[in-house]
Amino acid sequence: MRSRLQLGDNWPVLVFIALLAVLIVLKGRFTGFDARSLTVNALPLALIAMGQFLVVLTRGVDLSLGPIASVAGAVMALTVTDHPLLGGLAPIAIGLAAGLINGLFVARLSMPPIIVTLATMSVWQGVALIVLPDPGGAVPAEWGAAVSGGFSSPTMGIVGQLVVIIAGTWLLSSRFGLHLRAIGGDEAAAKMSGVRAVNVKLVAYVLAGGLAGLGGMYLSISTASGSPTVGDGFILSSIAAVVIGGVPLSGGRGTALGVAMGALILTITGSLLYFADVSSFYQSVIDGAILLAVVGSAGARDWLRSIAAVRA
Amino acid sequence: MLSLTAIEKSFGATRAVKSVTLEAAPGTVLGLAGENGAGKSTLIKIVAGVVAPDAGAMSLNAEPIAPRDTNEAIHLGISSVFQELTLVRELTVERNLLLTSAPVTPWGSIDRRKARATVNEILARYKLDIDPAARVGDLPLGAQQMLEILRAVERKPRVLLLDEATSALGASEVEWLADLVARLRDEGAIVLFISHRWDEVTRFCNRVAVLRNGELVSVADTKDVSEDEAVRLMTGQEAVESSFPDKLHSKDAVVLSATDLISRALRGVSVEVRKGEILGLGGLVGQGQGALLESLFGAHALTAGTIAVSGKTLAHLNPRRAIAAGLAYVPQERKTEGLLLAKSVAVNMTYATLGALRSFLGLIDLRAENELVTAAISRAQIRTRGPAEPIHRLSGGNQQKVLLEKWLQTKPAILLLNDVTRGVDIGTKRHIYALTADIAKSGVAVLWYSTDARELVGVVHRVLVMLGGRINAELTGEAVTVDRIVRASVMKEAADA
Amino acid sequence: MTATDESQPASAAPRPRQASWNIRAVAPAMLVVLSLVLIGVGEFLAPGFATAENILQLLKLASYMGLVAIGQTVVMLTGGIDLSIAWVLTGSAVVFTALCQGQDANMPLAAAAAISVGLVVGAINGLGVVKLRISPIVMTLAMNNIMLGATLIYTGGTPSGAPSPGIRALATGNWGPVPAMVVVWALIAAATIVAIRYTRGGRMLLGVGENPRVSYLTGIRNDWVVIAAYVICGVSASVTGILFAAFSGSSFLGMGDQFVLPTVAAVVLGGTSMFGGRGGYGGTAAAVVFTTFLTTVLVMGNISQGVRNIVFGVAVLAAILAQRLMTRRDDRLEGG
Repeated sequence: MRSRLQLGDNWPVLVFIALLAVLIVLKGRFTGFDARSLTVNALPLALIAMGQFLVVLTRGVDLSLGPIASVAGAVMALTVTDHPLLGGLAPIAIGLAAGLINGLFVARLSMPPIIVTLATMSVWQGVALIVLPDPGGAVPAEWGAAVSGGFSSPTMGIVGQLVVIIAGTWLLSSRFGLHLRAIGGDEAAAKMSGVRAVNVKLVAYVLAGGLAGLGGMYLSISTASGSPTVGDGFILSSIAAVVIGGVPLSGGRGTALGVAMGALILTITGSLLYFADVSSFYQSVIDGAILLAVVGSAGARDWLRSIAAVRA
Repeated sequence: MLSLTAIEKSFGATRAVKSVTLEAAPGTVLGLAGENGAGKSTLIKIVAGVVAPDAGAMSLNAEPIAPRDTNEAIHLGISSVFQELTLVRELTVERNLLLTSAPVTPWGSIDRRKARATVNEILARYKLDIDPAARVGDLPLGAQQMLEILRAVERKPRVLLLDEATSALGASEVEWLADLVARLRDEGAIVLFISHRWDEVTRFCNRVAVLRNGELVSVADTKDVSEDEAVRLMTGQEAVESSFPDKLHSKDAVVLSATDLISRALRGVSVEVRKGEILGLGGLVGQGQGALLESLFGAHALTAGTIAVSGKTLAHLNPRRAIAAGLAYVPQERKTEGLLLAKSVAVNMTYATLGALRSFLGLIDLRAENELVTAAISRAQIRTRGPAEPIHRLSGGNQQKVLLEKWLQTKPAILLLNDVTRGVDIGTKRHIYALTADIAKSGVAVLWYSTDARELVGVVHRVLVMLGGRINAELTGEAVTVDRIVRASVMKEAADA
Repeated sequence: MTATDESQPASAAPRPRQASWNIRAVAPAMLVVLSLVLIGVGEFLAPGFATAENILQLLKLASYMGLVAIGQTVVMLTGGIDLSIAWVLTGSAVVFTALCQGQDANMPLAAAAAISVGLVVGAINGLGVVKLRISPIVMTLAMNNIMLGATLIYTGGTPSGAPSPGIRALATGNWGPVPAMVVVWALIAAATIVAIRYTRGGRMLLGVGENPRVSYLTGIRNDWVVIAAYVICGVSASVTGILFAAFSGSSFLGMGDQFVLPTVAAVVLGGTSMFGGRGGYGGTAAAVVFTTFLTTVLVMGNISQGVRNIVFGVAVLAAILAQRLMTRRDDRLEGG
């Protein structure tokens, strides 16, 4: 932990830049289109991971964020053509409400987040299948143009990433952010110091749900349709992005910039494999291995040290 | 005026506070003094809202108060500092000090410049030289304790409770606190002060209340209470109980020896225990006694020191190796360290010796287990409906007997007892005294930490009294008296100073 | 004591309930009753449902879930969770059919290879959780991903081969009037229940799960107990993979996904504490039967997959809520 801090809290940025350099070397060029697809493709993950980040800061975890995104995206794809306002607002409202349910169980009833969100994960997967049994629905192309800014301009993708990073950083710099970190650091101490831990945790889960709703919306917009299982991949990858972004699952620490970098790193590995001519089959192996390497490094160092101590 | 009327509190069968009525006027620094278990900590926790009284009433400036937690107490103007810190170690000094009151900019972010200025101002006002950007967990314990005190005082309390708040402070830091307390006193606040050191009580307090066995025995101006008088009040005049067995001397070989043990809680401790001896370990709570016992059992990390059993040094000690070397350790926290509360009497009693019960296909020989446990139940007169009864249904005393029997099953050569009679009834205590004496007579070396000085006087021939992670005094034979133990617990021995 | 005196401590700490049901004793019995109710509902929806023959067929379906749930129970008794069973199961099945190629002669070697998949992944999971201090959820999710990729690489995207007739007979055939799998499951289930309660290893598992500190101070090797639990889980997923491939006639990608949430749900429904150390396989087995009946009845009632997912999630939430309410008293006692 300490040595990572000495490296600077920005090491995920360095990792991303290094991977980007490798990609550019492999491809031989880096166009506006490449920049666009990278930033736009990484945006839903960045949004959902930012929600996961808030929950992880309190020492929790949310397995239901992916399926919440599925439901939000499905609702959007079904309604937005006829009712633009409803289609734009309902997904976010659904996300917030779903987060509230998680929050009530975890914060109010102090039940373990893994089991609670595993159960709500199943519920939202079911709801998505009922709302939209097969991929379909439609999102008008104007929406797509508005959020991703055409096919070759990276502007909107970069703006989107910046908005996520700035909003996340702002939230963390508020008293709420301070209280999130205090709870993750030592919930009992935070409570004794006057932090309203139950409410703060509740809000964290609600916001996470809302961000998942936004992420689902963005997925539907960028594919111009909905799918009931589109969010399932984010169950792991949102946790992976947070962890690769330098946030320990034991809570209390981390930055929004790191989490956004985590999302970009996970996205860029896919492109890298493609251009390195490696089968996409390796993608999930590599994602899993990166995740384990990051979360396991501190423990591995201590373990090796303890083995060395016994040998000595 | 803070007044407590007929405050009463029991934990199970033990009456920790017995109808205490006490008043403190503004400008009073009231020391609460007494032996371990006298009820001083319980009393202060009741005022702090941490413990709810069973009966009695409290009022502050004639208004009745009944805080249900520390936050409510803070709103009533009662701030408390305990030995356990409530700072978030992961966060910086600045963030901790302004956790709920950080200044924010118009757009909702914490105003770092203003926050830094505020914190610098606070630290300067309290004459503390601490980096506001340092992580609290990285600071020395003394600095953490001072921040904790600072935060409590910053709330401008009408009542400040200091429960062993000086335990982590060095000499100059204690002076700092003394000045702070004097200032609060002059401003008309009420301070309740518990310390393990009598010299601090006299240094800080203008009034002192002495508690014994949960009862208030004296309230007086500090200047009117001499050292000898204080010891007499704390220990009382009652005769030593006759329930103790004959004391054992032992001139047999040393079986357990520890040399220069150093750790977070130990500052160079050496101990030797002989075969057939019961060596007592005394002193006030938290002076390193528990850490010493745990380190001998391999459950407390040492930075230096060696431990040897029968002359053989034990390397890389952990509980499993310690058990193999013939040690057994009965921990202090019966419920969190000793017993599997959801399991039965039988499961708990055979947990350390499952290997001996293996039979066909690795199954546990249930008949053998049942016989063994039934025998232990009748031998130790454990009140239970049977081996299958869940252990959490038993009374504290009977739970403790199960725990002792569990370790006796391992046929130890060395028995480490960590305050095993705390919170158990007198009948169980007598049983434990007799049992331990028998065990020692059979050749087992016993190291017994007790928070009850009277018990040590009754049971052991030699006592080591600990203070601040060191052995403050060794008392032998006729010198083992309650007065000497209590004095060595709170007053530094000249030889060591 | 006056009236006001009495009200203070009462409001400070909620009084424990007078009668506290032990959910761990009640849950399996309740599930058996509910299963009987479901049989009644099934008979109502489709006359002929409540025949012994049909029930035995349903139990055969349940047996696969029941076998994976052994591993999940053991892991959850340590306070952990194993989400990697999905692709450990699939990977093992794929290895098994590829090496078996429908020949009984290849069967022992193929089975050994398939089981070693679960053995190795379980050991890695255990070491990661214990030695690298990775949280069980991240460790097993990551291993699940790695196994997914490994399976894709191994198969090139298309699983091949087939189970041999011998193993197919076990997975699909009958011994007398009773499906062989039901007998196998019943025997293994009985052995598991006994092993958890009446062997040294089982006692250590329950002890380490309930209170690692007490176990450590009793000289138990906590690390090895936890690692063994993950190994058992991996192996049970592998064995199920082999048998499920035999039942299906082939292996296919994603065949393990349907087992993950239901096994966790069954363990929780069966009364095993999600904090570890309390519970056992009896409740899990009852919950597996119950959920199988429930799914069948829902399918018979033309209830869609979506609603089934919802029913599942809500059932788990209800179960942990009930556990919470009923164990609050114990936890308070133990916490203080």
